[in-house]
Amino acid sequence: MSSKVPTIKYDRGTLLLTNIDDEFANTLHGVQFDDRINAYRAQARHYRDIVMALHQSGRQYMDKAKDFSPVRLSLKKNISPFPHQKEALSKWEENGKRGIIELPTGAGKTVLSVLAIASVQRPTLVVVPTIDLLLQWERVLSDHFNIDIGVYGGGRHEKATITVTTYDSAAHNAEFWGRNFGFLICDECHHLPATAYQFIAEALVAPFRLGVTATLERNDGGEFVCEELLGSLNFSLPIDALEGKYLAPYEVRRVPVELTAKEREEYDSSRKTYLNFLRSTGVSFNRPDGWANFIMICQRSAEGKRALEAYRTQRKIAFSSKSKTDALWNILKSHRNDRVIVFTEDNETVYRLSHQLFFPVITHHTKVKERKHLLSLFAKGELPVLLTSKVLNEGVDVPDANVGVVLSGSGSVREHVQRLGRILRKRPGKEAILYEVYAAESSEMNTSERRRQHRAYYGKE
Amino acid sequence: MLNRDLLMFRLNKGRIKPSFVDLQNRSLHNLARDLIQLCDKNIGQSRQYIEELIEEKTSRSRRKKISKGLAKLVLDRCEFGEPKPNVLENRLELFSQSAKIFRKVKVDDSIEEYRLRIQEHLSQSLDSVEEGLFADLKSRRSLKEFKGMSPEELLHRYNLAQVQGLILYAERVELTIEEPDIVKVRNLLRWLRFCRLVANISKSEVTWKITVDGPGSILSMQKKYGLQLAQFFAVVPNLEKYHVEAVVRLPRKPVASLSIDSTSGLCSHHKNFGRGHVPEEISVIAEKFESSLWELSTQPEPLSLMYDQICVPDFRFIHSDTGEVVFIELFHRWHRSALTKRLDMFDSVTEQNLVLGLDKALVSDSHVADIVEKNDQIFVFNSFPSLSKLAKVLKGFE
Repeated sequence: MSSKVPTIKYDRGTLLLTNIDDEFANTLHGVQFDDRINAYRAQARHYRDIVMALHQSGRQYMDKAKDFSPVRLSLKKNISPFPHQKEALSKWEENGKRGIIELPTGAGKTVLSVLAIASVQRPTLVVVPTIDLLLQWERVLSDHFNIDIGVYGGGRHEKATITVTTYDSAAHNAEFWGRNFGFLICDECHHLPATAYQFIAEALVAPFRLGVTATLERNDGGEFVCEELLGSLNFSLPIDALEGKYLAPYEVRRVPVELTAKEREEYDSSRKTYLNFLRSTGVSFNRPDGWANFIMICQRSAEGKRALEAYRTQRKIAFSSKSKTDALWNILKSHRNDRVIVFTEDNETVYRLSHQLFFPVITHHTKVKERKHLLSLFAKGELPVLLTSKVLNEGVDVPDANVGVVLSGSGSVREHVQRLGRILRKRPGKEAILYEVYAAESSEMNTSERRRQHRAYYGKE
Repeated sequence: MLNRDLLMFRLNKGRIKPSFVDLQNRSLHNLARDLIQLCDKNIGQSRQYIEELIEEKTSRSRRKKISKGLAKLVLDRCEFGEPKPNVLENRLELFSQSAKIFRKVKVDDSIEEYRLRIQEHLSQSLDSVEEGLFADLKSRRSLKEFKGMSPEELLHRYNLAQVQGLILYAERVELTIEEPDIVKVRNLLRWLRFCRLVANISKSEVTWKITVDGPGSILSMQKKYGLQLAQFFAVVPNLEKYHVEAVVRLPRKPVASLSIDSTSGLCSHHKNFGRGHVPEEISVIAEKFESSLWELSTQPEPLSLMYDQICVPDFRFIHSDTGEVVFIELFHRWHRSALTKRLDMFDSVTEQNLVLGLDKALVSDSHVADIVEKNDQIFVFNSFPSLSKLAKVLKGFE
């Protein structure tokens, strides 16, 4: 049964190439000789290029790597895409059905992906960042395809022709599933460059790939990793190009609040301790490892430990001062007939507010059943307010939300744009408002300035 | 396993040395005992409560890092239960009520007035409602079971975890075993497969050298095998004479080499590792096998095959005249996935006299049946191969 035909096999996230002559192997990108096993090896993502090279060289070969075939995936009903969706899909198809599409939230990335699945007709793995998105994708895919959708994550372990999973589950299972899918979709693909997640795209043979995101750009150059693993950026459109016609019109209101006298005193004192330590040690946050360096230096002395504690105290005061709660209460009262999402930087504030105001909470601790229930009541208008930290930042479709309140957050432009995106889904007559509540004369002012450096905020005050 | 911030080590001239605790140290022994008793005595208490007790205990210790490490290992042995019933239902009911009340608040209503209105609709005080509002959170779950151990065992686990914590940052592990007990090597290699690692094995008469890493380690893949290597290492101290070398790349630390051997005093908690269980059927075959031509061993050395496969044969037969060696590896009905992998590569291993025996149930697969049909080094048995079946296989090598 032995033969000398070049053979490709799948091995735990990699491809093994046997019976391949050295000269030809050396022409293949990403292929290396593995002297542990006396064969050539490559990351599984190079499957498409290797097979094409073998095919083009006229060699006969045996493909034991992929374990999928074309499938018939027909849509339940016809979709009439918006012009921007049509153009994006066409650009992606022209690029060999590989690459990234960048569209604002509410512009229809999920429906676009449904059209892509129908175009590729291969078993598909959809990778999403959160449990909420997992459920949302399951719902949308079930609405459009006549097959059972597999869900892997949030306590469910169903693998099917179309499977939706989280980045965490996919990273864990990629080496087991790597040969089973012909199409990989990474939703909110700006997450993919995280060290633990890159393996997902590396370990799958999937010849067809699509990344969708509202904000591809990263500060660390991770967008190039996305393009390397999924294909180049095929199409991009900013929020303002769609506002009014495809996205709800919106305004941004900034609400500065004064700390109470006691909070101010404690804030100033803690901040002074923290800043003095920074100056004396020369720690700079302008370097990529600045934060890690700060933590390390803090551990070395009692003064450092005090500085770290002071840092945490001043941050906590700025994030959750009494004045902020009062400002939030006033905003909520003026929107008591609307649908409001309140965003915070930390879970502690969310639970504190829930204890105080008895509004429901969605954090990463919230179980799937409860999330589903709360989002459905919110959609029906039976719950006017949802409190959340970061889990609703991205992707989740809450079309009826028309007011967002950022009570605290990081300086990340992406996070701020994503939070705005939660309230922009178009509805007849809808006008969205994003409030940003920040502690005046505190470091939060700078944080607020940093996160607003995006065209979505220019001229919006 | 211990987090990086709980590791204790010394870095000197490119070598990294874990700082082990002294198993005879009285105060550490007492601390270990107290932590174990603390969990033992607080079955039914919440995680938050137990963590607070532990924090109180460890914060008083002069050796904070060690005590936190011991506490982490003790907490790893705790199993917390499910939340009390109806917490979710009660919470959803409360939010539904508060939503209705909120819709009716006036622009000048204070938070206190709003809360009072909610109180009017409740049968219990707001304080007790708040207390139970998120009683299903992880921190509120109660301790259901604690997998107890002795203070010595905890200290041994701590020392082992120090090494495992460093191996998490290693790319590969080089293991040398001197004069090994073959039963233990068989088990070690089985464990290696369980950890989904790749091994390059070379051996002289008394020494085995095993280099262990992951399949993608040569490809700059982002997949790290540290966790699997650390898991693999947990059984190594069961070997009598071993030496481990690993290159450790801790973040923001210089690259350093780690060297551990059997004199380090480490102890594995995988207690059954060395006991080579011989199934009854195999013992019966060994007892009843009679041949003037073939000598039988039921604990043969593992075979290192091409493409990083390791085979742990069930029988080895040596021909008394020719010295011909025949290995037989059996695949039972529960070995379907292992068989798939073996058959996938079988064409490359036939240079050794390796014969595969397959349970009849596995041949129901038409692909497998096809391979069996075409290959005379594979035979089929029903439940377990009979003596006559084995004799027939051996006849082919005479």
